[in-house]
Amino acid sequence: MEILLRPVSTLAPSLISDLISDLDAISPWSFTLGPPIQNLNHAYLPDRGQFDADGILVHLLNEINDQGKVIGLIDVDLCTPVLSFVFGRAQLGGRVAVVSTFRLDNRFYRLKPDPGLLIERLKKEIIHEAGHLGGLYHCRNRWCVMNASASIVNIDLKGFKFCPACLNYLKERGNNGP
Amino acid sequence: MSCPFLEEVVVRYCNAYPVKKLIPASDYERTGICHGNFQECPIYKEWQSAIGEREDKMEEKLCIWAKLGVVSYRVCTQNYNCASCEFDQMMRSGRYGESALILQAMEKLKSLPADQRVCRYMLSGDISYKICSNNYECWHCEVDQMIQDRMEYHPAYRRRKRLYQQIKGIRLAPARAYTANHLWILKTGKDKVRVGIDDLAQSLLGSIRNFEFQNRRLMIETEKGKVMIPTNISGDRIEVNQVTKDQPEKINRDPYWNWLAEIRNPRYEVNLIEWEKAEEWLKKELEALEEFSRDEIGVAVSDGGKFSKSLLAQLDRQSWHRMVVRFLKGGEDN
Repeated sequence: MEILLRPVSTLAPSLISDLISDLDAISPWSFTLGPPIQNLNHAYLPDRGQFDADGILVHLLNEINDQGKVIGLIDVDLCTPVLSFVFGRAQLGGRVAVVSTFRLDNRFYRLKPDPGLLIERLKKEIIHEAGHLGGLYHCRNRWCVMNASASIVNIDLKGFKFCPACLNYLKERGNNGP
Repeated sequence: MSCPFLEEVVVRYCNAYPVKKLIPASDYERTGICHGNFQECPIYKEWQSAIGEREDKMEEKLCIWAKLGVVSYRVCTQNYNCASCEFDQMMRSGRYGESALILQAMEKLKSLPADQRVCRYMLSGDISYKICSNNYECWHCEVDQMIQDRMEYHPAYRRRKRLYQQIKGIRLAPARAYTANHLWILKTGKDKVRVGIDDLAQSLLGSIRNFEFQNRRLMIETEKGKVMIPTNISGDRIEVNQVTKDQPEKINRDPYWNWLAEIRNPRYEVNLIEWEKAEEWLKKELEALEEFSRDEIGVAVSDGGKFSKSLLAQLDRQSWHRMVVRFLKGGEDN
């Protein structure tokens, strides 16, 4: 399965290139860099001062033109009507997902910036959302990358890898590689 | 066989002294652990006076009803927190509440000299001086409200909060069984249970203004309107919690502490979700709520986040009603 990463233009290109090579090595999918996301204004919720994750998914869905899957990488605060914030959101077994670096960055928690840790968290979240695109739901295994993260601590605790049960599911669905 | 050179002796030491010097029992009479009469020991004296003070305080903690002379003797075990005292509620409600004895006691209370009508927070030592001017009907009292609000930040209260499990910001209380329409049931005696609504239900309902049990249904009046929720529980007698009834906003603050009613000999017409399975069930309900709120992109799942308090503000009356029907299995009461 090939996944197109579409970052917003404000994200550093060096961060994206490092990310793609790392993701190819640690995940069962191949990632390529797609065109940047141009405008997120339509998804802005002035009442909450956040961006509607579903609005961004709809935007990505409208711009998709082949059979591939797309993950948008953005740097603004995401939310849904029900949840106060989200790190990422994806169509279950669908074609589009979005991940935000906003709450993955140490600076959000008023801690010293740590670019290495940010990339690590971002990789976990991208693989997590890619898992959802592959049809996987949240996993109860706390070390599995598909474990749901209620806070940044949960992201730091879980690993990059899928647990055997999740990996088996992906293999059965034919999502284990190109 | 033990070693022939092994010698067993009983030794004693002073537990109050910082150095634990072991003295053989045979030498005890000769040396004396305290080198004299232990009753003269300053540590012993201090300990004895502390015990004495504690016992004196225990004697003072007579129940308000005992102080009034309604019951001959009863010691308060709730630190004068009458709002959570079953005995106090029993006395104020039902067949006791209107009895001549209680009315007589209330009259007696009103006629007491001011200096004897001390506030329950003064009795418990939380405030230095306050005379009750509300006949111990704390639900009318501004001071009670102020102290209860402050308790939100009190370490003891916060400890109670930590007992709850949090799933995406929604609290789940232990030791309770739940129904599919978000009521909780806690067994409090051999034949009685307490019933309340869970945290998701109070979050979806918004500010609660009133509630009433009507023929196996629970009517809840909120800022968005009235809803009827089937309880599917019947029993010999349903006693409404008068404290929660008088201050329904407390349900929004802590729906597990502020129960709605007590039911004797309950009979359930639905399967209950036991505590062990409640976490999984609530997770699925929250996921269903996410899916319910948006259907234009199909099933979507998120990572992270807590239940948003602004959800209700975003919903119009019709959407809110659809949500109540789906999750609380309730209908609008016109």
